[in-house]
Amino acid sequence: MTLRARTTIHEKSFSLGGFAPLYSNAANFGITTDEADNYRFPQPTRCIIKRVLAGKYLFTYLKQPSESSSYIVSLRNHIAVVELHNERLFFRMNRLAFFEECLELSTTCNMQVPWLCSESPFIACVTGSGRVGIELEAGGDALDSESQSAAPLKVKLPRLAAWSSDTRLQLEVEPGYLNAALMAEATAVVCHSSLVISSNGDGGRGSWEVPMRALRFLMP
Amino acid sequence: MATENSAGPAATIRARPRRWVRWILAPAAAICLFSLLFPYAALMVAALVIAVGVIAASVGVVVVMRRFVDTNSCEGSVFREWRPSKRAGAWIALRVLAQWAPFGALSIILWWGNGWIIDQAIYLIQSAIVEWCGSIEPESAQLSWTGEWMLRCVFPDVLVDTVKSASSGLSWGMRVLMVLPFIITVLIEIERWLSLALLLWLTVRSLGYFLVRMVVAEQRPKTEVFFDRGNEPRQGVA
Repeated sequence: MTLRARTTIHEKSFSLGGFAPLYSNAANFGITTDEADNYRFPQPTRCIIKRVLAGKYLFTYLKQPSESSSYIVSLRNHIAVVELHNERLFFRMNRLAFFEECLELSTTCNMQVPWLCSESPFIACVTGSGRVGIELEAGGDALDSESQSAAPLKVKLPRLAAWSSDTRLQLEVEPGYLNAALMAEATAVVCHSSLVISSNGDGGRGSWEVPMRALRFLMP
Repeated sequence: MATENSAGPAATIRARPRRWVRWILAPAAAICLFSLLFPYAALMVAALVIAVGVIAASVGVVVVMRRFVDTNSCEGSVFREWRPSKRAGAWIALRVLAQWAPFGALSIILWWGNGWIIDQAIYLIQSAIVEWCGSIEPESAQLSWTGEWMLRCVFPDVLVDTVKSASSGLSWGMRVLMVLPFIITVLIEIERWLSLALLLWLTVRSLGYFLVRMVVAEQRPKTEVFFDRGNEPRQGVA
């Protein structure tokens, strides 16, 4: 079963059962957060900077009372649930909704020049066997290169939510001084990939887009 | 410490002690207490940490640069695939400099303005100190300041001597008040060096960005970006 086949995009609230203890972003799950004791640090030394910058440092720890029980995930955004079998998935930290305790967060450093042109060299990834949820505002798609036989898959980089470790991309940027000075977004042409999850939104930055670009210029 | 809360139809939230108390507050409190009890030891530790930090940062920069070159020099990567002629390279360098020029000019203006403001602030503070000291009647007894040598490292001897003689007959509270302008001066000096570091970083960053952007825009065929082997160099291009 391919990674793409093990990926489900949920548009409505769904029941999540049979999970290992889970770390979740409570705000998107509708959990009451009245008591501060509900929070804990998941893997406190993992991806510290990314988690702080993405506002996802604190996660709620969920544990099933019994194996037969399930948990209703009430959605605000669409969520792509990816089931990993000892695989690695790269993702954007601000889109992380939940992940099972058996998975391990980490940060890799990609210093290839084309990638550095428009993205941070530090990429969050999750490794192991278990389920991970990726938030997709305004919907999204889970694609692989095999299903795109006619034309190569193209995704605007800010909309790239998660991708498998075997992904190979070519980056295209629009020429011109204004595009360069304003850090116009690049487009990723997917040459090969087992899974590319793209969102229909660009991360919900909205009016923060320009300040975020300026910040990215200061801190790549 | 763990408590059980129900949240959701069939979920249990297991709470843990707040680790930020242990990880952040407790170490910070310990450092403050240590600094109060053993100020000289704390100073030595701080100097050691700074020295080790500078060395570690230098080694880190070398390692990062080496990895950067390795990653981009292997078969199929951008340093191999993109080989402009000397003429084309010079033309691209000129275009990059032209693109960067407005930002460079802006940063120089900001740097100059920052330095001017800092110089004026330091002048005003030191003038105020001297004037204030002149209004105090010094006594014959001279107190020795425990931190005097540190002040002499940063400030002119004349200024330190003036303050020292003027403050000898003052209460401890007044002496602490007189040291405050020195602390402010040190802080704005630190700001001067931090802004210099930021200027250098922005210069490198903006030049690199315009260069890479131009290379990526013009490169045919495109170099592939891969993720499968982490930081290691890629093996071939499709």
